[in-house]
Amino acid sequence: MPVPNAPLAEHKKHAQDFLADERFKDPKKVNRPEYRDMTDTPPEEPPETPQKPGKRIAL
Amino acid sequence: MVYRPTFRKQGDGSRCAWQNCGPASQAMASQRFREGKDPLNHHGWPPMPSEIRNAISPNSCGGTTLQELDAGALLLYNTNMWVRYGVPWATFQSLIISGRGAVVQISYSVIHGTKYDGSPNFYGNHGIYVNERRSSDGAYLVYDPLCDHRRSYIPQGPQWWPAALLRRAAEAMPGTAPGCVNASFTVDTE
Repeated sequence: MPVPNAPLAEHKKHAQDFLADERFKDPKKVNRPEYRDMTDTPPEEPPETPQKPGKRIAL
Repeated sequence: MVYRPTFRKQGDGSRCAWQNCGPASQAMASQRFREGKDPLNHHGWPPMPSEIRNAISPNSCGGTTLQELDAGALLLYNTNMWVRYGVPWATFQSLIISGRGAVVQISYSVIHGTKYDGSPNFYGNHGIYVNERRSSDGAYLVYDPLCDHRRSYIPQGPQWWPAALLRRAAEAMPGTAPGCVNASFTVDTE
């Protein structure tokens, strides 16, 4: 695999070769059994705590 | 310079908004895929999370899969993504460096408490869009659909994430093969 600062052509070739490999199209073949191809829902957010005003310094 | 799509937040008031991290990420990926050019079909342009959601599940909400997002975006915007699972990190890096954007699955538990955190209490599976890598420090330009500055401490829009953070978050998606990423990639636009 090309290192990050390898010539762009090497990265392009590696990318094309990888994308042509059918094995990586099936999540069950490459991930562990508990893998779930699904996003979750963020819970309802608590109200934002108002900032406490700083102490006034008498000048 | 790499084409940068418009940032789309998931909390846009549309149906299923808070479950639309996938559709929002896909909307940004589709705009990058087409470099902003309207396919001139009978669907709307630019890509929007709500339109992708309606294509995937017109009568229900819930999480989305990479395959569903790809199918919805293909129908609406003619953007046929490369959906790939168990992508080794070095290969993911090559795919981005070579000129592709990516919708990436992550575990938000890793982002929680960092300055990139877009939610005060979310630890679950999340979808983000990664546009490019910066060669000077290896950081990735991440479009997190939760980062809409709805609270004073939440960032606004795309952020440069350290590579180590993105990698840890992607690898922490439950069930992901060690050292790998699950993602779908745009066409090479460079």
